[in-house]
Amino acid sequence: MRSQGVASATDLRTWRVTAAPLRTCVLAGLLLAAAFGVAEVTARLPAVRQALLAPSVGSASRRFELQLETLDRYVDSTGGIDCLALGNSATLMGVDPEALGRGYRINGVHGPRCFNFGIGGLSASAAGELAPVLIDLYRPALVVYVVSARDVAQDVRGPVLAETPWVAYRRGVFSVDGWLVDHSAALRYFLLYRQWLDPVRWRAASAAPGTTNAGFFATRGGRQSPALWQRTRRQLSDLAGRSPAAAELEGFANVLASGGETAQIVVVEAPLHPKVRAWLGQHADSYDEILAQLREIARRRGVAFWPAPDDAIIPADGWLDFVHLNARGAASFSEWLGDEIATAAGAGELAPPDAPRHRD
Amino acid sequence: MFAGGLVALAAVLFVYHCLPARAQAAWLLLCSYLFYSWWAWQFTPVLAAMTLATHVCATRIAVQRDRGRKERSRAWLIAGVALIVAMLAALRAGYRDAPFEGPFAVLGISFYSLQAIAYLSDCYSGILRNRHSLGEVALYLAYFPKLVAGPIERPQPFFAQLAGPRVVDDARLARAVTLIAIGAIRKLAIADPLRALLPLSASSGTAEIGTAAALVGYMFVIYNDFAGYTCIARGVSLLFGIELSRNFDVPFAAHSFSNLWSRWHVSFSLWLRDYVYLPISRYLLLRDLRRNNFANVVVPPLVTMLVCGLWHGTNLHMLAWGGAHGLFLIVERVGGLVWPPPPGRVLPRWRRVVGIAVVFSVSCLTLAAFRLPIDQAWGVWQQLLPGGSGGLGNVRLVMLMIPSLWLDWMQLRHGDETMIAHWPRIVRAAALAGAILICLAAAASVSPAPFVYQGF
Repeated sequence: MRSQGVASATDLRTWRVTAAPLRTCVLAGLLLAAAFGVAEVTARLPAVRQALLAPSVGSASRRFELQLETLDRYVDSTGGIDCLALGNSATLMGVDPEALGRGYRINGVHGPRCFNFGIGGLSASAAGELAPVLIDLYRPALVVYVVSARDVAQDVRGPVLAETPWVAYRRGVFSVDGWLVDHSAALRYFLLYRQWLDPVRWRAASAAPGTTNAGFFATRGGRQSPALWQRTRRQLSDLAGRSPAAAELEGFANVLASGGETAQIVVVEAPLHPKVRAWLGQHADSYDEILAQLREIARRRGVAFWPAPDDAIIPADGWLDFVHLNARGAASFSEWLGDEIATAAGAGELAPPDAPRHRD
Repeated sequence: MFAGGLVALAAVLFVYHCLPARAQAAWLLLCSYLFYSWWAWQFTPVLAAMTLATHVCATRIAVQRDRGRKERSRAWLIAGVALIVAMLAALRAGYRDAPFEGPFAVLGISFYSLQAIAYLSDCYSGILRNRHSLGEVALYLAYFPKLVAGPIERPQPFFAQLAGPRVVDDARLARAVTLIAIGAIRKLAIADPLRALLPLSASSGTAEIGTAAALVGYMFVIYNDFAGYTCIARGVSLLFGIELSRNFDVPFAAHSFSNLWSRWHVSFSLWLRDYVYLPISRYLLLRDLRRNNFANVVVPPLVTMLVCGLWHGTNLHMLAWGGAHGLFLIVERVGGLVWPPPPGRVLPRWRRVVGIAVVFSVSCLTLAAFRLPIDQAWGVWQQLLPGGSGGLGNVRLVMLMIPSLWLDWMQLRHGDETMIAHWPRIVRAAALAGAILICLAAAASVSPAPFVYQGF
């Protein structure tokens, strides 16, 4: 560096900034803080919440977020929940909390406040992440986990809720993202509305939940065509060749362990379409083996495992397809389930979920 | 990574302003090489070799020039330029298929090699009278704010700033922060969300966005991405007291193609003008003194734009794109000869508006050849014909274009993109807060993509 100009400039101080820009920055910081504050207050206003779509917690499953918001609103209106049904789409479409209450009232004194937290494709591992979070947040007296062999041996990766920072945070793994989502209503709305930029994601994000205020997704009619049966049979054949994944069995065990001192857990086998039951009986021993494994895990943990109801319980026109119940089938199954719970409570096998001590 | 970059920049700035001027230049050079090594360490020797070759050739050019040996000086110029072009061509050809493969292998070479040519040429022509040390030349080529994708700085103003005091006061800091904020908004809040919205291949429209809308969208993506990068580079450089040249001057307000090239990628356009167009034109005029002789009307713009196309990529479609723009310039020039504009008169407003619409539309059309191989570009143009899927109109696209147009309008109206720096403090603070908020929200919504021009 031998140019003359450089040498002559050595004694100059080049940073000649006064405090004025700093004051501008401080002012900008204050304005930012004010903007965040206003956004937070606005996002918490009931009227605003009513007007906006269900917020997001940054998960990959919109159904999970819709169910969370619906549950929040349900708890706001009823003061709490007594019973939570957890499971995959068979639960979402198969457990009608109102019918469950009716079945329970045959024997019980009060109708328990039940909510259906079914999520399409919810695997046992995802349920194992979710159950402790829901129990911690909403304190249900009873969690009914409706399980099928698919939940522990399916080839489709369901919603991976453990990777959601908020879920991990609620499970005790601290992260700034998780903490922010947990504490900021404005951020939860931002996480939803930022998806507006992506038309495909936005279509899914802005779709109506389609559930009742108790989380039940009611469907009408049935479409059990030969083509659908072929597809179902292919899926069943695929399932018949599988054994449960270790992570899924661990998730199942986590669901059973999630109750702690707060909630009782009951496992119920999801109802099987008669045609499916017949096919499995002829072609697949593995289905029963998987269920036997689950039953054994439940037995070791001291958790009740109720088999699926007899075919006679579900009316022939109670099926949407070969896996899911329609509203009519859901009503029958749920009444049966309510009755089972009430009977178990009456026999002292379960503490009544609607006992006054559980009411807020 | 972003936070790490900010901390590193703050540390470099702090040390820089604590040092005396001579050491400041050495510090900048060291940091520039560290920066380059961090991005593309395996090509640091290429940068160093080109710097050394440039310095040796420039020294020989100056020695021969000072001794009055014009021919020998020219021989050194030709040798130096040939060496630089050969290095550029070899590397660009070697990484033609995967210029982005990691880490960005050809990072910055298209930009610093043009600066090296400019330096040799200015030494030869006598524009640069002083000789410069190897360190100074190295810093001119490697100065990190402009290393990745320009602006392509001219040697004289850069060395003049290097020689003088590089003071950063309140006004400069305000301009620097404003430029960085505008650049971040253009990149994070306009270009990246727009890019995410558009079909990946641009070879067809989607259910959401028609082909015509996609082409317009890509025009905004490229503009905002590159203009955003340049603003950030200029803002960062200002923090070191070094002013870099402006690269964009509201290009969508161009009412003719010659006007477009004085507004779009200005530093490159000026480089092309001074080191390609004018030498060819001078050569042709020496053979035929009539300024409007046929060869002088056709050859310089065509060759210049073909070089422009080749610089962007050694592909047929880039050549076609450059050739098309060359033809537009020729047509314009011929039109100007046939219907000369009245001297001293400003164009009527309606002609400006029509010109803006034509230039923008044609630029969008040629963008297909810029982005896609000719056969796919042809498919895009076919879709724009009646009966194709060339529809316009998507509310998201329009919403993302509005801030870009607003920034342009403000620049057009005030003649300076940093006009916000002169506004009252409360407005400046609100604008800064708004920019931070918008950039945070945008970065959290769309994954930031690499800058388009760092691949060239």
